Amino acid sequence: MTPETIFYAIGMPIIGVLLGLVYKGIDRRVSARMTSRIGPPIRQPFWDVGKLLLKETVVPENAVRWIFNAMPILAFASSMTLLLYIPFGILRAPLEGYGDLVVILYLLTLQALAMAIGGFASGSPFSSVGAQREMVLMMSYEMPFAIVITGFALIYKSFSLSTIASTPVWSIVGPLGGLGVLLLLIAFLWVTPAELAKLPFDIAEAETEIAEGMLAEYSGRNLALFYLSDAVRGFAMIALEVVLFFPFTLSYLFGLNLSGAALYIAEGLWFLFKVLVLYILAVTLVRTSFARFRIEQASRIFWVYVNIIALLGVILIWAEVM
Amino acid sequence: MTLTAEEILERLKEKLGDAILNYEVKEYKMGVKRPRTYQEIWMEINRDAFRKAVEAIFEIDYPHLHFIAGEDVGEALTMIYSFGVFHSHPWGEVSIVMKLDLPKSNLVLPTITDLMIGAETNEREIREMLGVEFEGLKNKRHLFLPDDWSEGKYPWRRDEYGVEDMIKHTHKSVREIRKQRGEQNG
Amino acid sequence: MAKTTYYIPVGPIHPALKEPIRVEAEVEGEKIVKVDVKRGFAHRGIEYMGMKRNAIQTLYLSERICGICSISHPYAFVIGSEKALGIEAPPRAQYIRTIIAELERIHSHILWLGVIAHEIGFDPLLFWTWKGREKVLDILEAITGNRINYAMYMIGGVRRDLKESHIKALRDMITYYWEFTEHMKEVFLSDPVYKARTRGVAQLSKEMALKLNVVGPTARAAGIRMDVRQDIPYDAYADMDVKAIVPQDIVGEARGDAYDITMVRLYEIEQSLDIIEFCLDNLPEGKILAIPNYVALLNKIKKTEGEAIGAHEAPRGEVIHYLKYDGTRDGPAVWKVIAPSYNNINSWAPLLLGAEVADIPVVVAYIDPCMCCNDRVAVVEDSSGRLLDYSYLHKKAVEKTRKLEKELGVRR
Repeated sequence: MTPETIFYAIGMPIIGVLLGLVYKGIDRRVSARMTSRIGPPIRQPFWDVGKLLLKETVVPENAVRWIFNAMPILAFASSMTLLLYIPFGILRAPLEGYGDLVVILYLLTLQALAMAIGGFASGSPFSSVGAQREMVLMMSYEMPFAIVITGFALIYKSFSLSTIASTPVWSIVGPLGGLGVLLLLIAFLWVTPAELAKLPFDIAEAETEIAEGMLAEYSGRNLALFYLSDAVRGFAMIALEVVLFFPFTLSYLFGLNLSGAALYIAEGLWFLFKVLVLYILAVTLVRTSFARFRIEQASRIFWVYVNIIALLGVILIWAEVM
Repeated sequence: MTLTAEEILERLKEKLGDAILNYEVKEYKMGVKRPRTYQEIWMEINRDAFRKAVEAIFEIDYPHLHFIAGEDVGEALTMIYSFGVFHSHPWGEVSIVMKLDLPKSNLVLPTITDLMIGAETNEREIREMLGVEFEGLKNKRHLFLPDDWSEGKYPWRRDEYGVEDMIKHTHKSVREIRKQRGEQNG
Repeated sequence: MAKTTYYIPVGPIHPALKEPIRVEAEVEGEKIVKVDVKRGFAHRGIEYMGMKRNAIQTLYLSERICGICSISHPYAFVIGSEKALGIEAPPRAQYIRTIIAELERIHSHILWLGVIAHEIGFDPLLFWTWKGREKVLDILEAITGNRINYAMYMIGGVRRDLKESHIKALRDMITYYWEFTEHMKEVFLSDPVYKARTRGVAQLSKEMALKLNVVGPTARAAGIRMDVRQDIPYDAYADMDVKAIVPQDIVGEARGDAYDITMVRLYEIEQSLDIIEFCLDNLPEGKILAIPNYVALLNKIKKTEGEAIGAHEAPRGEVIHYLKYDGTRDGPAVWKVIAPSYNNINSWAPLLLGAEVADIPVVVAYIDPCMCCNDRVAVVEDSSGRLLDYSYLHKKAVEKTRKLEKELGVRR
């Protein structure tokens, strides 16, 4: 164990949580401005987490206590682990070499699964319905997500994220493959709000239908953990999208010749900026301009349309690679 | 095809005969620049002919039930049913208001929910407010009053079955309940 | 054996339903297999109270029946009273009454559009529509002095006159809303997600609508051309030919679902603008009260024996008041109020049966429910079951306020 890994192990989660909450704050603010409201200050998510941590954690009488309490921790742990697999710009992922895109796919699923199990364990009808919906939704969107990842594996002949991050995908594919990657991007953009449980796919937490669904019975520390893992997941998901589809570094784009600390700082900021822009486009804008789908509509969208788009993309890539 | 109030009245007379005790066609003039009129039929019928009268109205046109109301007039309850026929025709809707007296010894009326499901709300309300039983009404749960409302108390009655001044002294009734329970002051 | 059905209670406190009513649904997966509607959580005994007060007090009491359509009940009440008393409001007052009622319809319909958007998770649309709604509320405040509960009507006229400046403001408002409604139509009727969520949801056939005795936009969306303003017109509506707005006139067929009802409400806003414009163009001159002296009015009521039905087309449907003056009191001897939601809630149980959980908010909201009914005895008990009376609760409330003031350092 080198000092570097220890730094990563402690530093990355802290940075990740900070960034996740800041992005959440910006998201709320921008969304409010889009709907002619003032909106909360950007530090609001921090206050929210602080407040939740101070509050009493209530466990419902007919809940399965240990599952109910374990699931928020599981969700939080998996989102923390997830962070360690994402390369920040040119900064390499701390756990590089110990896992690849498939692990990321599983870690993302694990969080949703933890929420669903927590919902089932809370013994409330709202949570149960919410958890059922989450399971259905998960089965729908994981398929196109997996197809997207397969597409990348075809291009790079590898599942490793560092390999993918090192060379922009657009530079190694031809026109046909480029079209394929574009289709994969479209499919991925559809999957993003579902993966993050944001409108129009926040069906499992639909406030007006089933009163926050899976989270209905959660409070205090447990809810804070879910809140944090949600924030981190939001950041990680968009960061992954940036790594996969927009890996252009500053030096690559402008031919800058920086070195040492300056290079890392500039590239790091550039990466965060890209994530911010994509976050606003793919999450904030989408969630302010869509209504919630019904569960069977959402399933159909993923199983039929998004799957077709993703498969078409893979076929195009495959045709070029072969 | 709409019928005027007189034509409707003719048909009802044909069907009901002597059961119509009294009737009146009221005419109202509305409008400032182009005054026109519409009519309403007000009639009193024998309680035994109630079901026949309702069926006769349903034969003329599927009506819209305006309301069911009732008044405590001492020895009897006056029930007031109002149906609107030929609604959806400009200036054509004729309201048929039927009144019938129910002696307090026999507060039973046949239900009309078999002809119009929507009347269930009205009948349940009248049942709990005035204590009229509807024969054939399936759902007899309280509609507006609480489930633990005391039996045999009907807010709109003016006799011993009515409720005492409920408006200004809601907390007085609390005190009474407390006295009933034998509690000390709280 | 695994439990296959869940029991989902909606209300009296639930995010989908900001009104005190309870829907109990049994759910199998996403399908509702059993449903029960319980009402009466806000029964205040208003009819009972009205029968103990004089007519003018009752008129303003009737305004408190409903917060949103607060002019509808007074309107039906004054129409009924005028019919029973045989007096006629001056022409100018009749036109002013119509204008106020139509302004209210505009704000109520926009409110509904915002609510339905919220129910399907489209909050930005809620903010946008309600922002647009502020304009008509401002106008109402300018004319009557209040955003809601206008206290504008009087038996035999209105209490406040329209001034030239009001008329100018009204005309500006009409221009504004023509544009705004055009935008709203575009957003609501052509949005694919909105269509996906409302098409086929809460579908009521024409036959079923008749049987369930539903009224107003709910009935009109099902294709019944039923509108009190058209069937038995009153006031300024009698001077113009109001036509009931039904979907078959707009798109050729009526399906009676939540999408159709949106369409009906949107087109009714435009109809209201037309009506207001007509009233402003033809506004007669003259006095605004038939009997300006209220004591004289009450005396007349005391001497009158008569009964009548007053009907008004509220934004949600038909409001019917039955009134009887018995010649001994200066208030109604019998007063029966039927609010539109009274009938429209009938449609919930049949519509929810077989629907999905996701449809509950849409079904519940599509009739624009408004619980305006009568008294529930307020009995508060503490944890040991001891009854707490009014004076004790009031004392506690005052103590709590003092404590808060102290903590926050607020000086009285």
